[in-house]
Formats: sequence, structure tokens, C-alpha cells
Amino acid sequence: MQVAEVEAISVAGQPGEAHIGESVLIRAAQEQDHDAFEQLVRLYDRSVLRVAMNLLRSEDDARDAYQEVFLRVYRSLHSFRHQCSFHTWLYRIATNVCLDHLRRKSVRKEQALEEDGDGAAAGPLHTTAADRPESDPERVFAARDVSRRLQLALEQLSPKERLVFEMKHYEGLRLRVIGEMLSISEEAAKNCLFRGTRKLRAALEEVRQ
Amino acid sequence: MNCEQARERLGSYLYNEMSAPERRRLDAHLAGCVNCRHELETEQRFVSALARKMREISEDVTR
Repeated sequence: MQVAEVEAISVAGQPGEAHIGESVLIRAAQEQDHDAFEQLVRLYDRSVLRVAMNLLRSEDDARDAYQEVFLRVYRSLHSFRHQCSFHTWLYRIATNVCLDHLRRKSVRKEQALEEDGDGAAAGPLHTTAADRPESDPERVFAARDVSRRLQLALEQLSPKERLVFEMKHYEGLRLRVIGEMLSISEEAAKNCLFRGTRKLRAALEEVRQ
Repeated sequence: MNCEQARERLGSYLYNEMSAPERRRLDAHLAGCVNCRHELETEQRFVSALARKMREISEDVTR
């Protein structure tokens, strides 16, 4: 699915040649060749922007994150040792930047709630699927405003849960890869994914009833 | 594998994150347990519907 799309951006139809070309570009950019760096940015800019849009859901935030990603890439490209694929390395930076954005947003939201004197930030997310084995998934998703409610429910997840959940669903990445990118174990990534799924289900069902 | 162990593994099964031997053990349990099969079907419908909706949202956001 979308993993293939992401890889397609990096291989551009001719895997061998494109990887050799990319490797040459990276080495040139590491030696301060600005044209090579620009070409590298052009090769991946849509992919990074798409990831940021999916994770942050705001065009302004995504553009800020996009700029920050390539700034970090520019500053740390010298430390890239060609031991993993450039795409994995770049994606790790992009997800870290997005995670920082989500954390900052989450802190701001908590502060706003505290100021409002509203301690019920967690909402209905403490219930689990097991509490309602009789519920009908199709009916949950047939509701008119389910997209909006799903987006609200996604915002209730912890930044890490949300990131793992969205990387799995939007990018189709394996949990092992997601774990590597977020510097957490595969087991921890799995727990985040399942906990996130349970919370979303509970939140969507809670509203329906 | 008992029902409790089977249910703990349904998430990995649905997200295709299970090793082949573990999958075979779970399949063997499901073949003989109607309750766990029912639980799996419900979870499967939820995760499929969720994945479809996430794709729709993604298409809207990145359009």
C-alpha cells in the first residue's frame, strides 16, 4: 500500500540506479554541494510534507515541521553514515519533529484545560472494546459526523500512541520499523498501536450510545 | 492456547504483525472456538472500517 508509494519516491522506477544516484547526491551534499542538497530535498519534499500533513493535520503546522525537518537534515547530514537507508534516516527525523509538535500541542491543550478548571481531559477513553462485545462496528462508522469525531478522538491519544497509530495506518509501516524510527521497542510500538485502537473504539462507541 | 491467550493476540493477528508459527497456533484455537471467532470477526470489522475511514481522512487532509 502506501509503503510502496514512499519507496517509489526514493527509487524512481530504477531501484539500482536511483539508489546509486541518491548515494552520490548524499555524498556531494555532505561535501557542501548546495545543488546536490537541493536535489535531495526535491526528491523527498512531497513525501515529508505528506507525512507531516497526516500526522499534524494542519497545513501551517505541517509546513513548519517540513521546514524544521530539512533544517535538521541540513545540519546533521554530515553525521549520516550510510548504515541505514536515507529514507529511514530522514523519516526518523520527520517523525521526531512531528512528535515534538504533537507534544507541544498536547502540553498547550492541557494548560488550557487547567486554566478552564476542566480536569476531564481524558473524556470517555477509559472504556475498552471488551466492555461492549455486542456493538456493531459498521453502525459506528455509518454515523454522519464520524470523521470529525474520529479526528477528535485521535487528538485524545498520547502523542506517541497517535504517531504509532498513524504511521501504521497512513504509511503502512511494520511495527519493528516504527519502533526503530521512534527509538522504542517493537513491543512498545505494538502496545501503543493496540491501546490507541482500543481508545478510538471506546471513544466512537461512547458518543454513539 | 486458551481463550485469554487467543484474545491477547487478536490485535497482532489483525494488523498482520504475527509470526507464522504463532499465527498457526491461533488459527488452530479459532478453528475450535466459536466465541473467539466471533470476537475476531467483530474486531476485524472494526479495524477494516477504521482503516477505510483513516484513508478517507488522509485523502481529504493531503488533497
